[in-house]
Amino acid sequence: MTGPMGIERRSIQQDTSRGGDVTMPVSKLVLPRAAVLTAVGLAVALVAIGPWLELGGAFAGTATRPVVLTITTEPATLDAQAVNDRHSRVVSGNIFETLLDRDRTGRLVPLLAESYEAVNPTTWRFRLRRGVTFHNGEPFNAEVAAYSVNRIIDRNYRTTRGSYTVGIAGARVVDEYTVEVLTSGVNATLPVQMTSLPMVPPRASQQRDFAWRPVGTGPYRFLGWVRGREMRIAINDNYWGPKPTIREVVVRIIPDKQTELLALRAGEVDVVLDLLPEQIQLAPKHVSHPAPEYSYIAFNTHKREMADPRVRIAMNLAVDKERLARTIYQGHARPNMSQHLSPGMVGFNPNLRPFPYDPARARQLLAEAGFPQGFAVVLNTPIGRYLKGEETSEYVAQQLAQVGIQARVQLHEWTAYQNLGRIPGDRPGAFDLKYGWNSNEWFDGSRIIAHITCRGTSSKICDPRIDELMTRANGTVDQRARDEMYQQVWQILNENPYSIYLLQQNLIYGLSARIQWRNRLDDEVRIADMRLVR
Amino acid sequence: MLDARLGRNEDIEEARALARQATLSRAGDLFWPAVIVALVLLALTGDALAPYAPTAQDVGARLLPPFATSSRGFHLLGTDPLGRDLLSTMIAGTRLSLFIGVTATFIGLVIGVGLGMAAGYYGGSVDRLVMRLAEAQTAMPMFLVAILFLVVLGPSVFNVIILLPALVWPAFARLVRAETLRLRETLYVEAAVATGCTGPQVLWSHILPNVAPRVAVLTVIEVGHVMLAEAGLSFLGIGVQPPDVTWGLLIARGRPYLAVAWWLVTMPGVLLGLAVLAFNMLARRFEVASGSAA
Repeated sequence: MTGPMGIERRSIQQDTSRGGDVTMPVSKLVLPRAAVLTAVGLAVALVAIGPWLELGGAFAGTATRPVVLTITTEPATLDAQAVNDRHSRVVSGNIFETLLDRDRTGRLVPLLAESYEAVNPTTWRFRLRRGVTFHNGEPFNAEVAAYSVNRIIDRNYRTTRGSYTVGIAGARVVDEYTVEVLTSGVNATLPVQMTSLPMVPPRASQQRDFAWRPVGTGPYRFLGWVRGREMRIAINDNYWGPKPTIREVVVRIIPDKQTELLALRAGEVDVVLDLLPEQIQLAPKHVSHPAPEYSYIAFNTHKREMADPRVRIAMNLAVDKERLARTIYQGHARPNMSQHLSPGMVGFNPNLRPFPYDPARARQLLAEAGFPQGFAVVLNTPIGRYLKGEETSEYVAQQLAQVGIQARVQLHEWTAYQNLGRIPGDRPGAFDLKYGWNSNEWFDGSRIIAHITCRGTSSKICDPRIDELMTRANGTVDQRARDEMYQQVWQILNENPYSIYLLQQNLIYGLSARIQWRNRLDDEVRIADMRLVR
Repeated sequence: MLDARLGRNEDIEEARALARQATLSRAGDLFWPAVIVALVLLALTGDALAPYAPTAQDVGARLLPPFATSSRGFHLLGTDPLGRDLLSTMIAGTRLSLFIGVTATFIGLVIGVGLGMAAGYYGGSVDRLVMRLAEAQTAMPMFLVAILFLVVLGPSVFNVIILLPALVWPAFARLVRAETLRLRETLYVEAAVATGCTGPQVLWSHILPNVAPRVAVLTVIEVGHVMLAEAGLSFLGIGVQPPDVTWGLLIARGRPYLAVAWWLVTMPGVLLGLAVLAFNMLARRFEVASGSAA
């Protein structure tokens, strides 16, 4: 028999450690659904507000406590040659070193190499620094350098860094501290490629546990990894170079941005990556600096509507980039110079300017090209990959609508988005428009080649002039000639745009009050550049 | 039996109290139905009532707090990161939230009532099959299963509508089976069978009308339940996708800004809570009114 609705009374034995038996009558409702559902409703709200409640900061504020950085995704491996995701580099970038590096201003400087030269068009000779040892005691020498190069280009080695080693044919030992890197054909970008090729110790890197027990030559050595929670690194007392000042570092995995921010506010963590501009006011301190990241909306120039360059110029004119930078990015971005390069980089064209915001001219050009009524397109955008990417896409869609182009924003998971980008422009299923950021960590005009040549893996444009220039520029080691050729490429890419050129983006880091950081031009997080302040 | 019933004074007291409440507070009676009527009206005539077009951006007036005024006018609930009026987008979201809630519940109802009547009336292996199915499903964390399916099938309004009934049909099946078991023994059903009615005929013209009132009560509750589930899926990014908008999606969209613009999450959250509560309060009123407090 169903009991009538009511209250079932029960007694629950309470914890009695602090005195005699205390029996506490608790009326346990046979909860009506209303209550249950309301509770579930609150739970949904709590998922959103949850981070606010997780403020169990357990650290005492002493000067010796480690510096805590947070990342939102746990790296799959810390083998620096295997992957290139930003979050794993926060750890591995401090453990491993490369032959060449960039200084704070972006200039190419020696690191584990002392000097380098091209001995012939396909051979580069590096003289190595002496007296460098890995954290496990293995010495660093030419044999190790050659091994490291050959390891990453080995076909049997699984790496997502393939695009960084294109054109490297191998390496050979000349003497104990001289190594030669060979290229297949002339490869002018070899020196910059060496800034993203980490040196690994032959003995340790052949062990299976190398992925979670990395060993490098860098200023920090690996201490341990608590899965799903944190990784620890500490100062390398035998470091060959200038010693960093911060002794111990914890890289904590906090999958939620709000939690990260609140932990920063609570003084639990010291460095948080990629804040929203709006969140700056909540961080004790922050650094925001222009990164070599250029946002754009790629055209599929093979689509009938966008074949005419006038249409693509019109779409560039239709978007108010100043306003985008000022409002949505709160000034933490600026219109780029209609190229994926900044002043000082190889190939930067100083004569180019952002396309002005001129919707009237845009409408006129569309009419001239035969689309006075505009047309409909789909604008593809990845979810949660780029800072405010979704918002920017919706903003651009609205701007295009004002000149008659109906752009529908379609969101994709990252993998689906990447696959979409690789469908050739003339095949069914290829995108119309695609939002993305082009990162140029090489500071070099060659980095974009996959996006603009006829056979480029991500390219949706085919202009023989560009192909010819890119091939010629890649076929010479004369930097001035390369510079001029890439400048011409960008001149052409402004007359025959491959994308809507949007912004050069800032990276924003939130810092605790005790951290001082003179950060670099690229997005590397080098703890050696940080100081503690009282 | 009778003694047992008389012995439980509290229950009788409570029933009386409820009855008193029901007669005394007419205003209270009208509140929750009024909320639902208002929501339905919003869903049906939203475009006319919304102060602005829900997709109209104005990045010059982004993240305005409630009661702020932009160059376009007054924003009762503030604006979002693209300067869209929050009240207008919430009204636009009402239509889809409510539509998914009602449609998915109705599909669950049809499945649940059909299987429940069959199980209760035919008994035997049909009963065992249906009830084991319902139990198996109750044992599984259906929300996780729904997530799995949506990740595989791809998120869309259609997929959400065909998956959410899976969450609610067992409740209907159990209720209807129990009722059918009782009704099967009644004289009029026996009479119908004796005069040569087939099983489906009996179920359709004698059992169904008699379970209908209780099913109606459950339906009202489940609409709230389903709306909540939809909000959860959309919040996780695997439910409804932009440019469509529901309350759950609005909550998800506002989340990165929680620390700087509380209204983006709070306002749709409150509306969702209010709607779910309204459906449940209404169902309770029905129960009290029909004297079938469960």
